Amino acid sequence: MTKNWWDYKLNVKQIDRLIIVMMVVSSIIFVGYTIKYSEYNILLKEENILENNFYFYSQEKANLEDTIKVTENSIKSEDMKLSEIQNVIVQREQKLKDLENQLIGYEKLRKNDMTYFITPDNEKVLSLAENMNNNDPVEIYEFVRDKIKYVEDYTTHDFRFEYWQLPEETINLGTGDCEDQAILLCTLFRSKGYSSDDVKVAFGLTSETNGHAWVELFYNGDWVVFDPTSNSNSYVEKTRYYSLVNINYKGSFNDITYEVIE
Amino acid sequence: MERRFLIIAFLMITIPFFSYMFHIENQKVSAQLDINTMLKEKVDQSYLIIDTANSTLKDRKILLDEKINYINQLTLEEKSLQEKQNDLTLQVFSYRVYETNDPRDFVDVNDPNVQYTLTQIITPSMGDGEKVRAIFNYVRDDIIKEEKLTRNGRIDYWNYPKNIIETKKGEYEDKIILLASMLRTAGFNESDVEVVGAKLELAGSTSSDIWVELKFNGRTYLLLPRLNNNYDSFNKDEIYSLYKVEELYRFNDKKLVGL
Repeated sequence: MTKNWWDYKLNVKQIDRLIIVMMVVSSIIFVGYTIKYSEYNILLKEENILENNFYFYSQEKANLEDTIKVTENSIKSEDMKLSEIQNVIVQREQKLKDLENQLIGYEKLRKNDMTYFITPDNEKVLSLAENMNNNDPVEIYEFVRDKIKYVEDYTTHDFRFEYWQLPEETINLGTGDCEDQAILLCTLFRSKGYSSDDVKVAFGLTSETNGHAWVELFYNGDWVVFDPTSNSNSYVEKTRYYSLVNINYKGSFNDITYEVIE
Repeated sequence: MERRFLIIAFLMITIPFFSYMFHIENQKVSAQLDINTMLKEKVDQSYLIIDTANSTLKDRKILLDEKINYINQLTLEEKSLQEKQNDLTLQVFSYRVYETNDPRDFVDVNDPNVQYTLTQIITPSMGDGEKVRAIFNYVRDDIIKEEKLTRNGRIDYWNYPKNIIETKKGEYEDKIILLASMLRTAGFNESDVEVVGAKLELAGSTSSDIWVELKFNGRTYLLLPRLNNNYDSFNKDEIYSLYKVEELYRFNDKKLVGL
């Protein structure tokens, strides 16, 4: 006959042993529990620290992002300033170039360097030259002679009896006196490609007090005179012109050279 | 014996109870560990983001500083260009006034040179005739006539009395400007001293000329400060009856009447 466990009867000693074992087990479990409890509390504290850190970093990140945004806005603003100042510099450099050119022009005027007046590269002159069909000097001469009305300087220029116009001014005004017409004609010849060796404005005295200006061109193997103030001839051989008008030659110029006989 | 059973009974209750509690705490620890790990990852990520942001900010600041420095450099360059432009503008202006100013600007009644010169050649006790003679003779004789052949009239037509007196040289119209300025400074009224430009025709020949028209002592004189002329050489009525005179303009320091 087999025995069930309940059939066993423990004696006092065995019961005491059982109690001791159970107490040890119970203590171990309790210690384990308290360790876990402490561990949990430590983890809670750690969580708290981590949350604080996370919050701090989030704040820091937001601050940094704001600062980056402000800095980027500053960069944009500086870029605009940079662009503005670069534009101003470009404008100033252009203005300086213009002023320097004007000054060079005035210095030439001061030294009576008449090359100042012959401007074959001027846009207005080039445009007019391009509109002319061919390079025939007679056609160019007839254009200046017929289209530029002869008027005295004082009617146009602040009551001055003498005022030499630049070719562009003469084209714009459509008027001018002898030297204005001659300057424009010479400039057109130069724009059309005639060599500076072959064309010039010449000037001189026709009487003690009267001056005059005309254009001389080396044409068909000889020097000829184009005088746009006169519409009777297209051109005349130079020596004949000098004897006809009784010219006392005083000088000449084009865009490259000038000569004055004092 | 009963006490022992009670203890056993108590331990039999406490052991599962503590086991249960241990189990619960263990689960809590495990869950908290997961939470903390996740948080730690987030913190690490945030730290990395901050590190990157710091680096970006540093780069941006360097870029900004570079731009500011470049702008400062350009500002200095622009300032230097502006100074150069101002200088050139002044230089160009010093020429342009001669090219563009109308004749009134050149008749100067406040010029110290003119005032000083007048103290040298006239005295307050002189009559008008003596004053005019002295001024006319000074302009005619003491200012050397300089007639440049290649005058183009752009910057060398009208000139200021100051320049004429300082150089003691001048073209004919410069003498006219100086004469008008000296007469006006000497006290002659603006209605009595005028520069006149005109065309003159005599026997089919036409020429242009300018002079100072002066009214005093009930007469009107045309002053042409050329060699051999005196202040009273030309009476207006006589000249205007002898020549066909077409006046082109009149001016002094106050007025300008054109065509």
